[in-house]
Amino acid sequence: MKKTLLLILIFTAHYCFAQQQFQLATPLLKYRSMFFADTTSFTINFNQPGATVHYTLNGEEPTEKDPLYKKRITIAKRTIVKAKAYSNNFSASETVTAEFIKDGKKIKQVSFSKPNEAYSTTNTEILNDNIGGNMNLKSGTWLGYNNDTVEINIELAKKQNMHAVLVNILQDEGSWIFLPAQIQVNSYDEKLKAFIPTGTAVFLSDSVSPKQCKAVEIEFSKKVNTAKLQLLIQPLKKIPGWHAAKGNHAWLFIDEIKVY
Amino acid sequence: MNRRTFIKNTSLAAGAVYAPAMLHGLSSDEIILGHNNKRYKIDTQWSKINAAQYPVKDCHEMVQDKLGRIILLTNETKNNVIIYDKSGKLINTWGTEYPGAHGLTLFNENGADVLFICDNNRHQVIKTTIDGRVLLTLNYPKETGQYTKAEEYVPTETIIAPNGDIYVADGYGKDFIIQYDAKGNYTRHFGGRGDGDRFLLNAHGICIDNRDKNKPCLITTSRMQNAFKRFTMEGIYIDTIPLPGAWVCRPVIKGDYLYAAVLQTNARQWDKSGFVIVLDKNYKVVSNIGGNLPAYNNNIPEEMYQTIKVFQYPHDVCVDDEENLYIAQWNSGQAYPYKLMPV
Repeated sequence: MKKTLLLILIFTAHYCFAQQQFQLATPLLKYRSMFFADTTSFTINFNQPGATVHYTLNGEEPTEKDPLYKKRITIAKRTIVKAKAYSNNFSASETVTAEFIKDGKKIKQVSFSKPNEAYSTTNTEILNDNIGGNMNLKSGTWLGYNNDTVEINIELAKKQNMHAVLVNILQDEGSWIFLPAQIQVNSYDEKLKAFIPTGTAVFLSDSVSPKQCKAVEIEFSKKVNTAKLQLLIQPLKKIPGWHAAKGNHAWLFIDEIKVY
Repeated sequence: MNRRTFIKNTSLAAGAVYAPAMLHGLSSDEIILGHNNKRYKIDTQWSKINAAQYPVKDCHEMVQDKLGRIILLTNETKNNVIIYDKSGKLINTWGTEYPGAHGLTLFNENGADVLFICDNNRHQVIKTTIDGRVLLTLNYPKETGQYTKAEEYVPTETIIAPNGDIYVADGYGKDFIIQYDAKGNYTRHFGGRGDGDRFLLNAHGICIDNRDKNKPCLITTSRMQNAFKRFTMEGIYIDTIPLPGAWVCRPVIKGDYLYAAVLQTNARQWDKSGFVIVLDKNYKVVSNIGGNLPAYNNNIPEEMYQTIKVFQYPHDVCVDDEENLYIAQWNSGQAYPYKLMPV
C-alpha cells in the first residue's frame, strides 16, 4: 500500500513538474511564384538547432524517412511539395504544402471584367504572367471581386485542341474570400460564331477550409479546337450560415489562368 | 460591422476558443528557448490567480515597480491592473475605467512610482499613482494641428524622459510621436506617416535608449515596416534598425540589451506566429525566443520567423531585477503572462 502511494506521489510530482511539450512551427517554403514556364525552384527556411526538415515531391505526407532538406530544389514539372519539421525536443510541425504549376498552351491575351478598385491592377497580363500563388491578398498579384458574374476572355496564340482550363483561387474565409459558387467555361465555335458551353465546375463552401491557394482545373466535356475561351465565374452570393459573416456577399480572388 | 472590424473580431473569436496544446511529456529533459547568452526556461503557469475571479482579455503590457512587484495591464475592465509578486501570486488589482487599456509605462517621479496608461478606446493617456489615483489626463493633441477629433488619436505607448517630458506614440492613430513637458503642455510632434525614412507606420511603441549616457536617444517602433527607428530626444531622425519579417512591439531596454515582443511574422500573418527578440547594444539580434537562430547577411538580419509554437501573439516583455522575463500576450485565449528564467 505504502509503495503504491509512493509511486502515485512520484508520478504526480513528475507529471506536474515535467516541462510541457511544444510543437515546432511549420517550416517556411519560399518561392518566387507557384507558376513557371520551364523550371522553378524553392527553398525551405527553418533554422532551429536540433530540428530537421523532411519533404516529399509526390504529394504524400512527409515522414522522417523522406529526404532531408539541405539546399534549394529545382523542379521542371507540375509538382506538389510537402515539408515537415522534426526534433527530439518538440513535437513535429504541421505540414506545409505548395503546388508548382507549369505553363500549358501559349496564351496571347487574357481580358477580365473590372475588379473591385482596392484589388485591381494596371497589369493587363496579371492572369498570365506566371506570378502568383502567395496567400497575401494585398500582394498585388490578385484580382479581387465582390460583384456577380466575373467574365474572363482568354485568347490563345493560335487555334488548337485543348481539354482543360486551370484557375488559381484564394481561399481565405477569415477575410470573406471564398471559392466561387460556379465556373462556366465556354469555347468559341467559328461555324456558329458564338460561345458554346464546354465545361462547368460547382463548388460547395459548406464547411471551414484552411487558408490556401486552390488551383482549380476544369476538364471540358469533350476536347475542343478553338483559339478563344470564355469563363463566367459566379462568386458566392451569400456567405454560408456557419461563418460569422453569413448572408454577406463573398469575395472572389484569382491570380493566374492556364489552358491545357 | 464592416469587413475590417469583422476580420479583427473573428480573429479574436478564434483566439478565444483556442487552448494551447499542453501535452505534459514525462521526459525530464528541460526545454531551453532562445540563443547565445539569452537562453531561458519557461513557466507558462506562472500566474497563480483565479481566472474566474480576476479575468483578463488581452494582456497588453507589464512593468516592474520599485518594490519589485510585477504590474500587468489588461483591457478587462473588471480589473485593468493586476499586481503580482515575482512568483506569480496576486497582490492586488485596481482599475475598471480603461476599456482600451493598451500601453503601460512606469516612471519614478521624485522617488514615487507613477504609471502612464494609454487607452485606445478613450483616446487618452492617463497618468496615475501606483494604486490608481488619476493625476493627469492627456486628451487628443489638437495643438499639433494634425487632428480634428479624438477618434483620430489612438495612443499605444508612452515613455517619460528623466526631466519628466512625456512622449506619446499614436500607434493606432496617425503614427505621430507627441512630446509634452512634465505638466502635459505640448512641446512638439514628429514621425507620422509618409514616404521617407523619418516617417512611421504603426508606431506601436517607444523607449529611451540611454545606454550611451552621452547620447540618449528615442527608439520608436514602426511595426508594419518591421523596424525600429531612432530619433534624437528632439525628434530628429537618426537611423533605422531593420528587423525583416518581425512585427516588433515596444522596445524595452534593460542593462545592455533591448527586448521586444514580436506580435507575429510577415510569413504567417494572423496565424499566432509570434516570438520574442533580444538585441545587443549594437542593435544586433542575439536571440529569438521561439524563433529562428539569428543570421545576418550584409549587416541586415535574414527574414525572421517562428520555429517553436511557444507564444501566439506576444505583445510585451517585462524584464525584472533578476533578468527574468514576463511575456504578456494579445488575443491569445485569455492567457495569463508566461515567465522565462535565464539559464
